[in-house]
Amino acid sequence: MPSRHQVDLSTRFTYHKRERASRAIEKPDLDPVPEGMELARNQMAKVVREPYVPSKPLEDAVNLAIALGRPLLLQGDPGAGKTRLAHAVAYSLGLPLEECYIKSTSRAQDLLYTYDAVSRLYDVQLPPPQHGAPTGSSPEPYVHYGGLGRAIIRASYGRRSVVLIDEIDKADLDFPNDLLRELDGLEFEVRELGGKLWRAAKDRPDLRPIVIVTHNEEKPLPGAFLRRCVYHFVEFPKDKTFLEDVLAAHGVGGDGLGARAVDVLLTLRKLELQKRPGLSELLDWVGYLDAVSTDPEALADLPYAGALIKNADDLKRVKPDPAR
Amino acid sequence: MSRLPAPPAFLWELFQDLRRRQFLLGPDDWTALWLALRAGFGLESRRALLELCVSLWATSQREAEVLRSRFPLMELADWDVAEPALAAPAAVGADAGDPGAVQDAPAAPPPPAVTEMPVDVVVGGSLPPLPSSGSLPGGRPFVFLPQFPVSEREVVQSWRRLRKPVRAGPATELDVSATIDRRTRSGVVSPPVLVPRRLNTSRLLILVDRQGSMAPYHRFVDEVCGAIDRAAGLNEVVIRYFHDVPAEGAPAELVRSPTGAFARTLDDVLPSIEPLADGLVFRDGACTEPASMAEALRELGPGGAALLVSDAGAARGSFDIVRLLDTVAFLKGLRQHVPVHAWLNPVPPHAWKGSTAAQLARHSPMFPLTVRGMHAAVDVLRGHPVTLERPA
Repeated sequence: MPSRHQVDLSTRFTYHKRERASRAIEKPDLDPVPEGMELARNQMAKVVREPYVPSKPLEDAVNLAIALGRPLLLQGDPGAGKTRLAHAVAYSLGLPLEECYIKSTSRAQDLLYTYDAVSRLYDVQLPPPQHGAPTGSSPEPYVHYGGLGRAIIRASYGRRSVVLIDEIDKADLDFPNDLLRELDGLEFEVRELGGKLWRAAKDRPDLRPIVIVTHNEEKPLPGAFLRRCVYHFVEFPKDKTFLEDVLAAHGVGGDGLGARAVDVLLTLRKLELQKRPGLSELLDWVGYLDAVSTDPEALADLPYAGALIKNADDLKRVKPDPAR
Repeated sequence: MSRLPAPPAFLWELFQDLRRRQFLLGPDDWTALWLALRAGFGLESRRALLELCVSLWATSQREAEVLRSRFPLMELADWDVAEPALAAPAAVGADAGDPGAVQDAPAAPPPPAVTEMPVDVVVGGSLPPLPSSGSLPGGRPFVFLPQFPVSEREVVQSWRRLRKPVRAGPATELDVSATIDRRTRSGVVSPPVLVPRRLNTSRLLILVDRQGSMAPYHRFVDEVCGAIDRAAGLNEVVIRYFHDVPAEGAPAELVRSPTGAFARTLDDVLPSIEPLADGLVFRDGACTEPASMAEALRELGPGGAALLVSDAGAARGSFDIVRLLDTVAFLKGLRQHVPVHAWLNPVPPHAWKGSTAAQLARHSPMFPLTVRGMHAAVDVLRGHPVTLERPA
C-alpha cells in the first residue's frame, strides 16, 4: 500500500499562545544531510519563534495535510501570511524547514538536485595533485541537493522536515506536473551518480515531509497537481480580537494602539480600494507607530499612511491633500 | 478495510454533483475524504465537514464557492446517523458525537422547505423578490457563477500546444555534448560551451467579432481570450476587435450578375478576389478605440499566427454574399502577413447551415469554440495540413 494511503495522526500542529521564545532545531543547510536519528549539538541551530496566529480552519487544513500526506496548497492575498505559515509549522513541530523559492526559470529538477557540470569540467582540467586522486574524479561533490531532495534524504534517515515551495505559479506551466512523481513516491534518482536512489520508507507515514505550497493565482496550476493537494484560502480575518491577537503575538500595539489601528484598518478595507491593506501592512504600520510611540488618538489622521496604502489613487482617497 | 462503513450517502451525492460541475474528482479524492473522516476530521460539526470537503475537493476560490453553495442543498438527514458509526474506529465515543450535534443545533439551517429550494430557479425566468440582504433567510448567500462550455484549464491545455521553442537570451545552459566534443577535438583545456535557454516564441493575433449577433457570446469569448493571453505561455498575444468583418470594400460587382442578382457562392470568382490589405479594428471590446490592422500586424511581428473568433452570421442564420466576399478578401490580405490562421465559431456547427458561416467554412479552417474545436484550430496553427473544399 503506498504511503499516501496511510493516515498519519502522530503529528498535530496546534497553536499555543505561550510557545517557547526559541528552540534548537536541526540546521537545514548542512551539506551533506547528516545521517542517523540523533544529531550532534553542532548540527542544531537556535531558531526564534515565529509569531503567527493561525485561524482554526487553517490549523485544521494543516493537520489534514499532515494526516493524509498531501501538499497543502495555500492561496490568498499577498501579505496574508501564506509563507510565514511554513515557518510557524516548522517551529511549532521542531522540524527543519527547507525553503524552495520558485523563480520563472526554476525547473522541477532543481528542487531535487542540481549537478554542477561546469565546475567539474574546470576541476578535471586542473593538473592532477601529487598525492591522491585527481580533482573531479568523483561526481559526488558536484551534486547539490535542493529542498525537496534534502527532505526526502532526511526521511530516508528517519527524520522529518517541512518543505516550503513558495510561489509555485511563477515557474513554467509544466513545473508542478514534473514534481508529481517525487511527491507521490517520495523517491528520486540521481542520474549523475549512476542512478543512485534516495527513498523515504514506504511504511512510515510519520516521516513524510510536510509540504506547503503557496500560490498567487498568476497561472492556473495543472489539475493533476491540484487534485493531490489540500486546498486552503487564507482569508483576511474579519474578527477584531483575532487581529489584536496577531498584533500581540508580534509584540506590537500595546496601550490601546493595536485596537485603534485594527479599527482603522477594518474601516479602510471596507472602502473599495484598488489595493486593500493586508496583514503585513498592518504589522509594518503598527510596528512603526509603536517604535515612534504614537498616541492612539492620532491614528484618525492616518500618520505614515505610506505603510498601509500602496497606491497613489487610494492614498488620495483616504487622505486628501490638505493643501487643496 | 472493506468492513468499515462508507461515508454517508449525501456526501456521495455531493461528490457526484461536483463531478457534474467539472470538478476534477476521482476515486482518490473520494478515498481521501473517507480516510480523513476515519481519522476524525470534519466530525465535530457540519461546518467542519464542509471545510473538510473544501480542503480536499476544491482547488480554487471559485470551486470553493460552488462547493459552499451546493453543500447546504444536500440532504443532511443521515449525517447524524452515520456519525457515531464513523467516529467509532477513530476512538471517538458515541457521546462525543452528541455534543457536536447539540452545538450545531442553533446554527442549523432553516426548515426543510428552504433547503429544498433549488437555487437555479432564480437564475432563469422571472425573478422572485429577493430578500433585501441578498441572501436566503437562513443566512446562506446566493452564489451565481458563470459556467462556460470550456473551462480556463481546457483553453490553456489546448493553446499551450502552440509552441515554437527557440533558444534565445543570455547563454546560461551548459551544452554538455558540445563541450565534450570541443574538448576531445582540441585536446587542450577549453571553456565550456553555453547555450541560451529555450523560450516559446509563438505569437498570436486574435481578432474578435463584437456586438450584434456576437453579443450573447461576449463574456464567453472574453474568458477564452483572457485565458489564452494570461496562461497559455505564448510569447505575445495581440487582441483586436471588429464588427462583422475586419475589412470592407471588396468590389461587389464580382458577385453581382449584370441583371443585378447576387451569386450564391464565391466559387467562380475566388481567384479574382483581390486581397484587402488594411482594415478597421479596435483596441477595446466596446469598439470605441479605432486602430489600424497594419499596426496590429506590426505589433505581432513576423512569423505569428492569427485566430478569428466570430459567428460569421451563423447566430442569426443569415447569408450575406458581400460579407462573405469581404471576409475572404480580408483573409487573403491577412495571409500576406501571417502564414497561418484559424477560425473559431462560438455557434455550434449544426447551426452554420445556410448561413455565411457554412460558405466561409469551405474557404477557411473554421471550428466550433469547443475543446475539440480548439485542439483542431491549434493543430492548424501548428502547421498541420488542413483540407478545405475551396481554399481562399
